[in-house]
Amino acid sequence: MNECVLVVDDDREIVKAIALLLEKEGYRVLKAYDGMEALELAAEQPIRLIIMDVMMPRLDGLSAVLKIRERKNIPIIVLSAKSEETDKILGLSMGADDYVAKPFSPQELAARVKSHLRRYTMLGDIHAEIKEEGIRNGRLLWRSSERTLYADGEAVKLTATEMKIIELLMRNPGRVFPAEEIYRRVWGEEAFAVENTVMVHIRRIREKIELNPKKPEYLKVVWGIGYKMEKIEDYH
Amino acid sequence: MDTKWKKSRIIISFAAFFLGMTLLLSNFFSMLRLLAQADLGAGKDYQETEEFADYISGRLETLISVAAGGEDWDGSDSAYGVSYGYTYESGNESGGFFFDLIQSIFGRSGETAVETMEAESDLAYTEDSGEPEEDSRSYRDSYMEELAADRNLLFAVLYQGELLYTNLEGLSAQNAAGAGMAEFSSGFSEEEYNFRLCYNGDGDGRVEIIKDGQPVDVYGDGIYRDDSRWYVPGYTNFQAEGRAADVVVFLAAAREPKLYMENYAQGTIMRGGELYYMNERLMDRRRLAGTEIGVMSAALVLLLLAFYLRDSLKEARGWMGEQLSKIWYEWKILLLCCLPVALLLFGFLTGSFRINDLWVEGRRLALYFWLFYFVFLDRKYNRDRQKSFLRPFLKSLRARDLEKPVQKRLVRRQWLIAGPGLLLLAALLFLFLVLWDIMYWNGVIVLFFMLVICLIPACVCVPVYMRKNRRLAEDIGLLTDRIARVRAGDLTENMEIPKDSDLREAAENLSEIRQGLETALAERTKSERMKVELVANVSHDLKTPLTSIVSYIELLKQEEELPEHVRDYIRILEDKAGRLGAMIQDVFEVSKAVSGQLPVKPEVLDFGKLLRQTLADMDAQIAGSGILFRVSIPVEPVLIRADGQRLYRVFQNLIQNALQYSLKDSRVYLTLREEEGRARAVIKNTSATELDGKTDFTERFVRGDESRTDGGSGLGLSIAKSFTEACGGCLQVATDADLFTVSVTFPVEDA
Repeated sequence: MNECVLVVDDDREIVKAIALLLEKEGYRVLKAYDGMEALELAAEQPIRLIIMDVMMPRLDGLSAVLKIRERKNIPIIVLSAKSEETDKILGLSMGADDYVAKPFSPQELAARVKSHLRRYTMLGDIHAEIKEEGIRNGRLLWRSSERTLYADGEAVKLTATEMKIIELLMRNPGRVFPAEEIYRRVWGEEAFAVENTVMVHIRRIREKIELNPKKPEYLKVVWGIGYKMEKIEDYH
Repeated sequence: MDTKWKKSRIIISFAAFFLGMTLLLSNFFSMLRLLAQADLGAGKDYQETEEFADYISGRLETLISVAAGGEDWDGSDSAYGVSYGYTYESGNESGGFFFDLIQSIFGRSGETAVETMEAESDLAYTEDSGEPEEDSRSYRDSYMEELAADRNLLFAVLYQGELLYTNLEGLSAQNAAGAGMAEFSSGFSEEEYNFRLCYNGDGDGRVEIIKDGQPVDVYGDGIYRDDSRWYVPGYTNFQAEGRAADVVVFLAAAREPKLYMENYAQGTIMRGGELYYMNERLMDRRRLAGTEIGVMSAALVLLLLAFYLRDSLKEARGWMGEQLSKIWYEWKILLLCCLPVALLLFGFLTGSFRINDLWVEGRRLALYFWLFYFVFLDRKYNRDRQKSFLRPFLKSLRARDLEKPVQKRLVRRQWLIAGPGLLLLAALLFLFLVLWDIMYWNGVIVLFFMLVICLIPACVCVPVYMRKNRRLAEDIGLLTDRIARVRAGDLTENMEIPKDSDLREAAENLSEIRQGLETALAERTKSERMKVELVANVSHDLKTPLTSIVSYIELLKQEEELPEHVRDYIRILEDKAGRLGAMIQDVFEVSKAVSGQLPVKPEVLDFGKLLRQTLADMDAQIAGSGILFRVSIPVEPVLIRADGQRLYRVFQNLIQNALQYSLKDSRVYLTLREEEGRARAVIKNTSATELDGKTDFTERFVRGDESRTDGGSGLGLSIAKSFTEACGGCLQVATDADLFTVSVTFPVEDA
């Protein structure tokens, strides 16, 4: 099907590298080197996703995102050398769907592209079938009837314990659970020195559901308190 | 019109105040003296005064002793066998200054006053009577003749029924013997002589007194005491005995005593002075009292008027103050010091200085009052605008004083108090050595002037000393306060210290230090901000090429058919690129944290749980390191307030450090303790390399190994420290031989 991805950065080498990586994944890649070019291409081509750098000549990335958002509802991933929380929030509020700090891991970027495209496409399907039931949180969907967790529409393979933990956390997004409580409710035993046990499981689940397990977005540690499932707003 | 009225109001008010105060004060002591005299009562005649009673008692005693003493009576006997004495005083010529003073204060009332006057009149009488005309006549006869000549007092003396003496014409011995009072009284008009006394008329040795036809109670309860009015026999404890019991005396005193003159060849002799002057004095006192009351009333009315016009009076005072400011200050001082001295001196020189005339001196009270009143006005209105010819001189003196360092100034100032003291000592010494001989009254005078001479400089110097010292104390207080404020970081304002203060220099220096600090602080803040900006820009600029590097390494990795050694190279590149990225991020964060620009989100969390989570999170690393962790964390929560994400980074770094730099197969000890309201986490490990004990490991880019060949960025401890401090905690590093100890302390949060 060769979905079309637009990569915008004033650094031609970076554009080239990203293009090569994405083409290997089987996407058709369009290249632009500033905001204006990006706007033109976005208007002409049937683009499904945009990867946009923030600092660019002629028209900067965030302004371009604003303009594109006026007409298109496609996923936009913003790239920035700034890694501060405030920059991230600014980017997201301008209409971007995701924010990746430079230097990024190429696999992670590829994974994000894939994830966004799947969700975007799938959303269309779901709208057609109106069949979704269960708890949705960002990329994740928990269906209790099937006792299955879907990430970007794909079922995640979890062990029985991991399943119980995910069920507990998905049913209470945003709530912080101390390790002892998770242990009591999942294992059904009195909790004593369980921090390591719980942490090991959490780490394993992250490997399965997070795009970058080292920088988890969903399954987070609240240091000194417990663990929680971050509540993620869906833009689509 | 209005201003004119205002002006006259001012004049009137001040005139009223001035006159009122002057009258009030100058009559104050005379008023007191008059009030002290008991026998001023209106309507009383002279016969009701104690003076009269004493006079009559005295005459009666004399007559009894004359009658009982026979021919040999010489005036020395006492009829009652006791020493009968008035204190004879020669008045003011003896006793001296202080005696008079004491007497004038304590003795000038009631009995003593009367006695003194009596003594004086007796003296006058004796002088008036002169020497006996003929030597052959006995003292008794001449005395009786004198007495008889005074027709203000009629008398008749009988002894064993025989009439001895009388000055009542037409009274024969026979008549007198049995007839008693009635017969005696028939010889004169009751209207003229309204006081009559009869002693022993009934042979009972008692005295009977009839005044204006009414009997007078002589004896009271019949017991004689010191304060009994009538000193006459007839009390149960005071009886006429022996020959005195055979004497009968009749006395009559005139209602209005007169003076009786007799012309001789030698001149005029005055008779009957005692009673006449006694009456006159009483009348005089009455008149004087009337005047005093009038004067006092006038004074009070004037003062009331002044009070009513007090607003104008205030303006008058202001005007006076202004006038006073035109007088040289030195003149005022001189006047103030010299006037009282001059007054005293004048008194000494003219001999008119007698403090026993306190009421006379009292008139000077007004003078003293006005003196002090004007001093007060001057102080009030002219504190800062004194005209002085010494001031420029003093000013230059002070200016020169200010050039000297503060310690010298303070030491020199001691002389202000020591000087007068030494002067006084010297004066006393001089007095005792040289003036020993004339130490008596003259000495007192000299002493007095010495004191005055020493007191004037003391009065000037001691207040100056005290004022300067007080100002110094105040300035020290200000300065100390200011130093404390600067130390506390308050750099906002300069302190106000007057130019001539002893601490001026210190204050100015402090002010400069403060300004320097302020500038330095501003500069530092600015440079820190610039540093962060620089680091931010640099890290941004580094990240862009790094992105390309990482991306192409990834592409390289995906190349197939690469020889194994090339794959190896790529792995090394990937590893180092990753480390480079982490390092860039670390540098950026630590520079932000150090400059206080790191955003923190403090919340209450369990310190113990955070440590357990961190250990669990790093479980794989720890397990793979071959280093053993000995952990001691209390089960119960240790609550602190911190940013969990940052604190996790702190312990992540610390544990990584411990893993990286510990001796192979050694142990790391991690403990958490709660002590005295503080939670303290300690990580101890044995260093693989030797520690020199001098390096500050929390400095940026410092590592135990100076050659920097290990894998660390050297930022781990620096980040840990700055993050801990950003969260409100405290991180300390200590080394003991090769034992490396890091402790992180936070205040415990109450649950």
